[in-house]
Amino acid sequence: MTTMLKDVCRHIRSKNAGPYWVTFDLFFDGPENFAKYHDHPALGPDLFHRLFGADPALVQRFPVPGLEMIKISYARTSAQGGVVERDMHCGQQFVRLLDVALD
Amino acid sequence: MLDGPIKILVPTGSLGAGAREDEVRHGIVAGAHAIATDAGSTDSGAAYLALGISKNNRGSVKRDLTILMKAAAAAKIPLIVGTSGQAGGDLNLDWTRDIAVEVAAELGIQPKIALLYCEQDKALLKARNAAGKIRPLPPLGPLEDASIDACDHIVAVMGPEPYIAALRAGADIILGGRTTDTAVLASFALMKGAHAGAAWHAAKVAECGAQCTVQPSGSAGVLISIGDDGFQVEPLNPKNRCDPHSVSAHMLYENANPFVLTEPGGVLDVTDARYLPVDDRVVRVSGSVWTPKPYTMKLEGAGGGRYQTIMLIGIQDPDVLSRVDEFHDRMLAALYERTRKTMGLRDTSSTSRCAYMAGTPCRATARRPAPHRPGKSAFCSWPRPTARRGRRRSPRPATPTSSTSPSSWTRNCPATASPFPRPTLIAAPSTSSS
Repeated sequence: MTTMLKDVCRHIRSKNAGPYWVTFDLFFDGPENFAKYHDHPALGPDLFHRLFGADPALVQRFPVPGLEMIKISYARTSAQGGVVERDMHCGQQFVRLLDVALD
Repeated sequence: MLDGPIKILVPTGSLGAGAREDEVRHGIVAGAHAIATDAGSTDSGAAYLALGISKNNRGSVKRDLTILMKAAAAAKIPLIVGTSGQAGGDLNLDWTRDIAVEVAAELGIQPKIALLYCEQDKALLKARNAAGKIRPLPPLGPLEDASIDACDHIVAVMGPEPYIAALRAGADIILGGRTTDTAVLASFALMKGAHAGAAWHAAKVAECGAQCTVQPSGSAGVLISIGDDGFQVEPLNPKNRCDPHSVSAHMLYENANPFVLTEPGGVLDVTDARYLPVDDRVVRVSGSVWTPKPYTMKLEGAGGGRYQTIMLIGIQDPDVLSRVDEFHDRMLAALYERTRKTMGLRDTSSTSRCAYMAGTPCRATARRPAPHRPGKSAFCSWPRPTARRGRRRSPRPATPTSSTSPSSWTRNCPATASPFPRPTLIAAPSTSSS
């Protein structure tokens, strides 16, 4: 059976970080899942390009081992609150990550 | 060397969000040297800067200012407010000043009030831009003069220096224009010579008030105590607590980078910070590093322009969608509760309120919200029920009432009182100048 991101995380959230960035917090469920998946290629910049149209060069990753989580941020393709705004605080953006296949 | 830690009472995450008199009293008794709070954010869009209006309503801001000005005057300690009136533009600041003057008259006090304006002259900015003194923040491209012209108001985000100057000049109350949240909270401790890394990091942890505590929905503020080599943080509500996880996790919140924070005169790096419990409700943090850098100020500009007047709301969260009726009922009940509280209404029949409030057909069975689950207030998240808790329970939609976070779902949702009196939203480039 395919393992999806939601199977190995206890908490996933998304939020705008200022008007030009979106940030995702992936809290893994336990140290084993953090060790095994935090650096998984399926969670690389290409994923954010594919799902959100992000420039892969503007995707940043920050593992935080103490909290068994990884933070991933990307530059939005349009500014917060602009005329094409679809998610002011990016609070729903995490949904697209839930079913990302890991193995 | 300090004689002892510098204690800053941070009553709420945003002036007008609901400071609590009992918590403020607790912080004063604990020996607070100053009260400091932020009063704004860019989070809700550019309209507040473009139009010079506040998001928090006048009554809420006046209520909080009354509590804080009364406490500060009685304790003879300064009250420091940054990013006045949501956006920190000159109009936003003047609006806040008028309320403070009114409150002072009502309380019968005569505080010395410092006003820190930070709006910028367009001709000056164009000259600086032509001289290569303004550079874009990624992902933006170069700043064009046309963008400067399109703005109605442009602010430069201040650091702690103007606050320190005002404190040294003997201000009892400081009302600042646009300022980094951290600079507002760190200014007093920095002036007193506290450890710079600790002062900035403590300010970052406390910027959203009780957001860094275990039960953010149960209280409003925190007390930070900044010493020679670290700081401590504790909730102002004696029943709430901080633990190393709640404090360290706050660096994640709405930051693109969880370790490094760029400020006007330097950079805070918390990569090597250590978070240790002092007791069951106080956390001590050390190892935060402040590195001075050439001084830069971020520019934020906004102007009125094209706008949309209809908002269509979609929910993608699968957990909410699977129980959308329950979500609807809980949200409605939460809105009634908030309306009742705000307007001081008695608890009457849900049905009649429903018809009156919504103005559209709606179910007559609106239930009260179920008790809030502490620590799970973020609607914009996906908590998976874990087997480790010993029982399975299906995730349920959070109740919007109890979230105090700036990212809270209620601000996002047009079903609540709209934060946009006139929804004019067009973001102008924000740049950094040196």
